[in-house]
This record gives sequence, structure tokens and C-alpha cells, in this order.
Amino acid sequence: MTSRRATDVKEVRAAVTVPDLAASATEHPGAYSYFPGCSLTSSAGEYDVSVRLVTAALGIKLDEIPDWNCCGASPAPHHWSGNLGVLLSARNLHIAGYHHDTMVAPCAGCYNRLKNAQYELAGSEELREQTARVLREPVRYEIEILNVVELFDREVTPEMLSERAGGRLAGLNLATYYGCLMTRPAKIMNFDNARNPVSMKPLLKATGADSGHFPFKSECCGSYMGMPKKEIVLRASRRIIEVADDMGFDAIVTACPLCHQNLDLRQDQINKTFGTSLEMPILYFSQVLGLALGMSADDLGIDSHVVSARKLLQKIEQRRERV
Amino acid sequence: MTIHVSRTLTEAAEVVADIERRSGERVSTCYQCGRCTSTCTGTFAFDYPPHRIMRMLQLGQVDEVLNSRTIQLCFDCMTCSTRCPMNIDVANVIENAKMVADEQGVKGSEKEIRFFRLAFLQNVRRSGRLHEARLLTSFNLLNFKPFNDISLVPVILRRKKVHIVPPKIKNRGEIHRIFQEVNGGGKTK
Amino acid sequence: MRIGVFVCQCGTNIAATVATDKVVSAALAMRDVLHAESIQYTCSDPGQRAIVDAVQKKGLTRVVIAACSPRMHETTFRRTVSRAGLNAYMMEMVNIREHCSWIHADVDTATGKAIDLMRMGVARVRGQAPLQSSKVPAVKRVLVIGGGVAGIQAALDIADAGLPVTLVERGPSLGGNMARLDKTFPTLDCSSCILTPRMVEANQHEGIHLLVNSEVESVRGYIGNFDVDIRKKATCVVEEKCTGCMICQEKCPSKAPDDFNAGVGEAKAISIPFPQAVPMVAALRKEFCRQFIKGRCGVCEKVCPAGAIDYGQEDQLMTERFGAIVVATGFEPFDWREAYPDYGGGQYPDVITSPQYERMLSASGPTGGRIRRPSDGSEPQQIVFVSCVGSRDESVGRPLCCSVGCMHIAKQAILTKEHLPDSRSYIFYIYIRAAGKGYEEFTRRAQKEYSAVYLRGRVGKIYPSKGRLKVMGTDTLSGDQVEIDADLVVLATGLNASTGADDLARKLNISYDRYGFLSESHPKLRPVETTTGGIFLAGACQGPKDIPDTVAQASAAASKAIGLLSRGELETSPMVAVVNQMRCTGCFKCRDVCPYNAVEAIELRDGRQVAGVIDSLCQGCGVCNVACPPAVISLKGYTDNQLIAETVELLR
Repeated sequence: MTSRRATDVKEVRAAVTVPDLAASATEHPGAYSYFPGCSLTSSAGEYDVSVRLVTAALGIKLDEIPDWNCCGASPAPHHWSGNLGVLLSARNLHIAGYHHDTMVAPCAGCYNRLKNAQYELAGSEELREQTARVLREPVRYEIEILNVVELFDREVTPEMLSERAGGRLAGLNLATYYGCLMTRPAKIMNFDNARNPVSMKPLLKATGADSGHFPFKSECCGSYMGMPKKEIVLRASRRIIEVADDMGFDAIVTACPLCHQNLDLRQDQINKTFGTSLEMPILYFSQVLGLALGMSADDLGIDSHVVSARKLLQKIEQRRERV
Repeated sequence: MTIHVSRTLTEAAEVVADIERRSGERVSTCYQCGRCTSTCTGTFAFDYPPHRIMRMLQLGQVDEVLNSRTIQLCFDCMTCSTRCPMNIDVANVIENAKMVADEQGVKGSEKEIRFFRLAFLQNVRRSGRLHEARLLTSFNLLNFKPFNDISLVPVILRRKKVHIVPPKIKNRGEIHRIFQEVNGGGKTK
Repeated sequence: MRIGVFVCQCGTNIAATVATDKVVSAALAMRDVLHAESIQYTCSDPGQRAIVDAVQKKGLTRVVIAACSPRMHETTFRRTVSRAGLNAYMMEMVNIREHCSWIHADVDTATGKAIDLMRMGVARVRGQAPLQSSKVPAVKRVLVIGGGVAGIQAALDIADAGLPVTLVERGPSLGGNMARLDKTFPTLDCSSCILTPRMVEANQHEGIHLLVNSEVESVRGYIGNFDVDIRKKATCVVEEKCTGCMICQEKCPSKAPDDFNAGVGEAKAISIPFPQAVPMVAALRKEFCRQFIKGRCGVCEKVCPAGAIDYGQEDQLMTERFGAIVVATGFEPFDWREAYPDYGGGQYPDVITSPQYERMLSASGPTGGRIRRPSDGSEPQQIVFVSCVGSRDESVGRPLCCSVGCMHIAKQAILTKEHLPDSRSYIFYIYIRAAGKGYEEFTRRAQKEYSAVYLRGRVGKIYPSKGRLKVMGTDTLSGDQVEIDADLVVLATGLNASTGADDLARKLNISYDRYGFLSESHPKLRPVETTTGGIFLAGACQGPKDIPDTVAQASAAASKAIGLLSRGELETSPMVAVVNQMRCTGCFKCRDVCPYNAVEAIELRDGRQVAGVIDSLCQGCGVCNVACPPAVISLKGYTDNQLIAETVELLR
């Protein structure tokens, strides 16, 4: 498996086409507007791939919104740049709302920005006017916004998944990691319980895996400080991984590409800086579901990760052989 | 050091009231339990932990607050706000203190953060989407540290994790209009 | 008709917002008002004398007093006019303070309103008829609900005064929460040692009828005459035969939760909760018993040397009448697990609560007084105490202070050092509330003599790390985050009223707050009375408090009950409903709606069944008055004519 080249994201994207929104308007009545965001189209390509593969396998239809722009993520929240963050996301809400009532943003950062923009627009006529000036038409912002956990929760019941998974991931102990942006600030995000998030558990349990209590499940990984102040990310991420390791988890499951980057891409830097020897695979929620459905790790882009998931995949393989 | 509380409270009253108004919080609600500081992710890098920022606002020490590293470095993980027993959105107070500091022209000592923001927003302004490879190079240039994160480059390339060619959206005009609306966005205020 | 109007200034309470001289002039302009004056403090001696003088000198027949709320001084002024020679009910009190001066700011508006209110009062008093209150015999027996230290103290005080007491306790033994304590602050007295003599006394006292395993099922009646149904639950043990030898407990094969030991350790389905239980009688819990679940066992019956087991035993229901009730249902610890997921939410065995730790410290507890880590049984060296878990925390809906936590933790830290001299205790606190006698000195001792390290800050997170626990907190005094590698963490959990306190409150018709604590009738001046006459509160059921305050309050409640019943009869309010029986159609809608069962059927001479009000039960609520279709019921003191006159006067 390691001798194969890493997943070519472009190939997969080509293979699992997601039609242009405008074209598919009436063809997919139950579909979701899909907002990948910048990370998913570059360094977190495997998150995008795994979402597309798993949704296709489950019969969920996604229509990528055309000509979407960067949501501004980290540097554009309002304390830095006036209304920049709201305006950037407002454009995306506007486009997404053209044909479908619900949109999905797998990136927790984009999800947070989109929901925040929606909240601000609902509360300020001035903002709505400003947005209308930019878009040259009144802004449409009331679309329902889901993150990837909500999407799968809505479309798949644990019973359905359990049947299809057939306990494929039994024997694994997965630490659910929510990070910050999916649930906070609670009154705007209105998703799960900000103090004690549990939304990933039902589906993870249905895959057969164990998902015990992980005390650092909503601690911050260091956010966008990777470039400007690396020490913050290294310290924060280190503790998350170390506690998971100490508690005997096989992997950390996340639904945010920035968390993934900090925990996975920089795990080497953590080891070098602190003299640790951590080897904790970091998997996306969609990848775990994909594994449970029997997809190959390569297809799901798990070999694109920096920290190898070899041991974990071996466990799954061994169980499959035993059964 | 002596804090001349009657003086500081009088002189700082307006600024504190401004921060309170913007954030929707009263600083007197805080009873200094320190829970915000207990799990604050960034505290080790800050000069003042979050509960001390609240305390300084309570005592009118606004200069210290507005010139602190804390308000520049805080990255809004909101762990403090979620745990406060008095339901104070501490991160929001700090964020609004930063806004006031920005408006007063406080540059702050955290140049890396300013460069990061500059590099990021220039990047987005140009093409409408973030080009990660360029982000790293422009940040490193601004920061005069060309070899920062160089160890990650082979890894990223090998795993085909970034575009070499920047992504561009079609309707870049709208993006430019957005930045124009926000008073020359993309530049540090 | 000769009416006198007295307008109180109440210092500046009324006079600052209401121009009382204008109210006086307006009163004098009304017909039949012969006298009107403004008095600075009407309730004072000179104030009352002024009323008496005016009534006597000017031959006034009716009086209107515009002042504070009747709840404050209606009784006072009824006595005043009685002294002046009038019937006590020929006095109308109008509220121009709580209903007027205290809630309005504009003087003109407030004065106008005060004048309106005064005029309505005059209109009403015109229609008043003299009323006589009657006396009802009061039963000289008291019910005490709850067998903890509050209930025991109250029962002993009342029984010592010669009034028979029935003491009802839900559990199998007296003692309550105090029996679960190892030592008490600030004297470090052994709790059982000081409590058991009282428990025994209560059990043996001639005047106290003790009913354990019993609960109050329903309450009817009114002050002086409460009819209470009590259910004594079947425990399958014949009390008179059981010798307390505990062989049944030893041999019983069915495990059951150990409520007495706060869930630490295990008990059996048949057990005596602790070695000093009073009465020393076993009790069987059917829901955990193999005999009742599977139909097969019978071990206890076989081994009992006294033949005291009776599986066929049934609940007993009894109804008794009491003149007064003292509620002493105590408290229980708040269940912290859902509200504090950051502390593990109950998943870490080495994070325990202070009640659980207390049982561990106790020599008669599940570990025989040895402090052990629940996870591996080893002795802990670094022990962290966390204050205010479930207290002073708006974010979990509990802003109250538990009032005993700071002292409780200091005590446990001292005891810990005595048990484990090489250990170190860390106490995370926010404030130290040590207001009682000797309390402050006690907490200082914990720091000076017993090396407890006090850190000021709330703990943010506790998580397992390499077999121990990492505690992440803050010390706001030094301004930094702190981290501790702990072996054991003890959480000082907040307090709630006992489970079922709210149900009981509804049965008794008394109010309670969001935590279930029962409401006193006035927070300052009536701490042991409730809004229902004849029902008193004692101890932590009214609000979290320590033992000295509990005992003091219990004696206070006892004295109120004794005082109430000392004369053997009570005066009832004459403002009751009365049916015009000649015109009653016998539909009995009034009986259907009456909340006090105060309506009975009366047979007239011509055989017609009509409604009749039982004066002694009627509380004057007026619901029957409203419900009556032919409108033949009126409420004395609030007749329809009076109310219409008030309304007409207002609209004039």
C-alpha cells in the first residue's frame, strides 16, 4: 500500500462528478448544495474525495455550487476586517440558495463562517444593504446550512449503517474530536452541545467501533496559528494527541481540515520539538464511514495522510479475515 | 506597582463602556473565578491570561489591555466563553478590545499575525480562493523567514496536497467589490 | 354613616410620591366622611392613638386606613379599631404603598391613583357589616415530617412541652444526612456520637410516636385540624420481633445500592443502613430482593433467629389528625455528572463527591475509614478538592451558594492529613465562606496546621493521564494556570432539596423554589412559617444550612407549633362564603369547585337539597361566589354589592 502513489485527488474528483448547480437545478430535487471550500480543494483533498465517495455510495446527491469563493476563514472574522467575513460568505449563501434549500460545508471553518454570516445578515438591515450593493441584487441568505456530521445524521440512521457496516470496524477505539468551530459560539452554531458534543457517536458506534469518552474532544488544536505562531499549534495539538494516545485510542476522528492539518501534517514537527514519538492516525469522519462501508483506504485518500494508519488498517484487515 | 483605581476607573470609563456596549457584556458580572484561564489554549503565549484581562477592565487598566499581546494573539477558540459560570462571552470581550485597539491605531507586537492576515487576504482578493502554496511563500517573505515550514514542502508535494497553479474564480469582480466595500480590505488597517 | 379616613405617610415611603394632604382633602369631599387626617407613622403608638381618639371623639362607625399592604398591618389595625370600640371588621385597609407609592415615580399620577384607591376603600367600607370570628378547636398533636437532626430536634422540643408528636421518616432509620457525616466542623466532634443520643431519645420518648419507612400520602384540612394519611411501607420485617442482629444482612445473596454510603460500596436487599441505626430494625427492599423478583430465596427467613421475617407483610395506611405540621425533609447532594462533563461526567472512578469521600473517611463506612483510590485501591498522596461544583454557576442554572461547602472541604482536608500524614491536599476555592462561630479560625487551621494548599480558581478540566488524574485549574492570586497530578479528586457538590420535597409541598399547599427548597412566608421576619397557616419549616428543607442553624431553626419551628396550639383553640377568619339557601337551586357547582371541601348538602324543611358552607373549613377564596350560576353565594367582607360599589366609585 505504501508503494502506491498517493491518491490523485483530481482523478477521483473527475471520476465522481458533481454536476454544476445551474445545470442540475431540477434534476436533483433532494440534493444538497455543496460547498467544498479552499482547503478541500487543495491540502485537504482527501476529505473532499471521501465525502464525495461516501455520499455517492449512500445515494446522497451533492451539487457543487458554481464559482464559490473563499469564505475568509481565519483572518476574516469581523474583529479584523469589518464586514469582510460576512460579505465573503454572503456571496456563497446567495449562490447556494439558487436551487436547493439546504447546503453542506464539510469544512468546520467554512461552516462556522457561513452560519455566522447568516446570523449577522438576519440581524442587520445595513449589512443586507451592503451585501446587495456588492451582489447587485438582494441577498438570499436563509438557506439551511449543515456540516458533514449533520448531513450523514440526517440521511443515514445508525440502524441502516450498522446493517451495511456489519461490524467492520469492531475492535477499534476511536476518539471523536470536534474542535472549536463546529459548536461554538453555541448561540449562533446551534449544533450539538457546545460543552459536551456527542453528535459523531451514534454513527461511529454503528460502524462497530468503540468511541469512548475523550476529554479533549472540544479543545482547540491551535487554529490558524500554524504559520504565524507555530508553538501554539504544536503545544495545543500535542496535548490532544498525547491524551488520546495515553487513553489507548487507535485514531482521532475529526471533521475539520484545519484540525486535521495541525494534528496530522504537523505531528512530525510535534515529535521533533518535544522529543515525543507519537504515531496517532488522524481520520476524517467521512473516511471512517467509508471504511465501515468497505471502501479501500486508498480510495478514501487515507494514504495521503502524513501519519500512517497502517496499524489501524491492519486491525480492520485481521478482523475481516477472522470473520 | 500601584494601581490608582479611582483614577484609572474615571479615565477609562468611556473605553470600558465602549467595549461593554460592543460585546454586550458587563465586566462587573465576572467574579474572577479563573475558569476561563484554566483551559485557555493560548494562555502560555499570552502576557495576560483571560481572567486578568477581565480584571484589568474591571479596574480601568485599559492601556494594559489595549497594548497586550493577549488581544492580538487570541484566536477565538471560545473555550473560555463556553465554560464561564456567569455565561460571559469572554472571547467576544477580548475581540472587541482588539477592535478598539485597532481603531486607536495600536499596531501591537505580533507582526507575524499581521503578515499572515495580509498574505491571506491578498491571496483571496487576487483569485477569489486561497492558493495555499502562495500563502506560505508570501507569508515567509513578509516575515523574512524563507525557510519556515520548509520541512513540510516535500511532504505536501509528494502527497499532491496543493495546487501549483492557483485556482481562480470567474466572477472576481464581485470579490473586488467586497474588498472595496470594506475600505481597502486586504491591507492592514 | 360616619366614616373616618386615615392616610399614612410612612415617613417618606408614601409621602415622597403621594401628596397625602390631597388624599385627605379628597376624602373629606366624599359624603359620609366626617374625619380625615394624614399621619406620619400610623402603625406607631401615637398613630394608633390618633385613630382611637378620632373614633371615640367623633363617634365614627367605619374606618378606612390608606397605608401599606394589609399583609403588614391589617391585624394591627383591626386590633386598633377594636380597642376604639368598633367591630374589628368595620375597618378597610387600602394599599397605597406597595400598590402605589413604591411602584410609581410621578407624584401627580401616584397621588391621583392613591385618591382613587382611597375612594374605592370608602365605597367598600360603606357596604361592610360587622363580622364575628369564631373559634375552632385545635388538635393538640403535631406531625413532624423527616427524621434528620431537624426533625428530631423539633420533635423532642414539642414532646417535652407536653404535646404528642408523630415523627414520620421515609427511610428505615433516623439520622438523615448528619448520620452520614464522619466528623462535624468546627469542633471535629464525631457526628454519630453527638447525634445518636438524640436519636435514641426520640425513639424512646413517651410523647413521640416514631414511624419509619413511612411517608405522608395526602393532607386535608386546615390549621389546627389537618387530616393526614400516612403510609407505612411493608418491609417484610416485624419490627417488634427484630433484634438488630444483622444476620439476615450477612447472609442475603442479593446485592442492592448502598444509599447510606452515597453509592460507594454495596449493600444487600435486606439491611440495616448503619451500625447505630435507630430503630435497629432491618428492612427489605423488594425491588432488589430475589424472593420477590425470582420467587425463590427465603434465606433471611431461614436464618433469622427471632422469626421476624414476613414476606406477606403489607403496607399500612393510617389517618390521623394534627393541629400543626413541621416539615423537616432535609437535603440531598446535587447530581453533578451531566452538568460537568469537563470533570469526566462520572466516568473516572477516582473523581468522587464529598459525600462519598465522607463515607470513605468514616470508620463505619465501606472502607473502614481507610482512604483508598477507587480505581486501584492504593493510598492517594495528592488529593485535590474542588469547590462549588453545582454552586455559584449560572451556566448550569445553579447560581446559589451551598453555604457549607467551604467548611466541609476544610474539614475533609484536615481529616485527610490525619489519616494520611504524608499526603498533600490542594483546595481549589473561589471565596471561603466561614461565617459561623469559630469557622474562620477553622479554615486557617487547615492551612497553617494541616498544610492544605489553597488555590483560588475554578478547575477547568480533569482528565486521566498515565494512571493518575491531571487537574487543570487557575490560581487567580498568582495570576496563572496551574496543573496538578492528582491521585484522587473530591468534588464539593451543591445541595438540592430532598427528592419528593416538591410533591410534598404540593400536598401541603406550600411553595418551593427552583431547587425544591420550601419557601418561608417572609425571608426576614418569618423564617419558619409558610404561607399555609399551621405548617412550619425546619432545617435544610428551607435552604442549605449547617447543623447549628438547623438545630436553631428546628427549635424555632417547634416553638411556633407549641405557641399555636397552646390554647387548644384557634380563631378563624369570619370572611367566609354564605349561601342564600332560599334561592339556591341545588346545582352544587360550588361544591365541585371548592378547593377546601367546605360545602355540604343541607336538606331544607321542604325536602329541597341546598348548599351550605362549613364555616370552619372555608378559607374565603371566593371561587364558589364566581361559579354559582344564580349568584346566590356571597363572601362576607367581599359582597357583590361592595365590589360593585368600589367599581362604580372608580368609574365616577
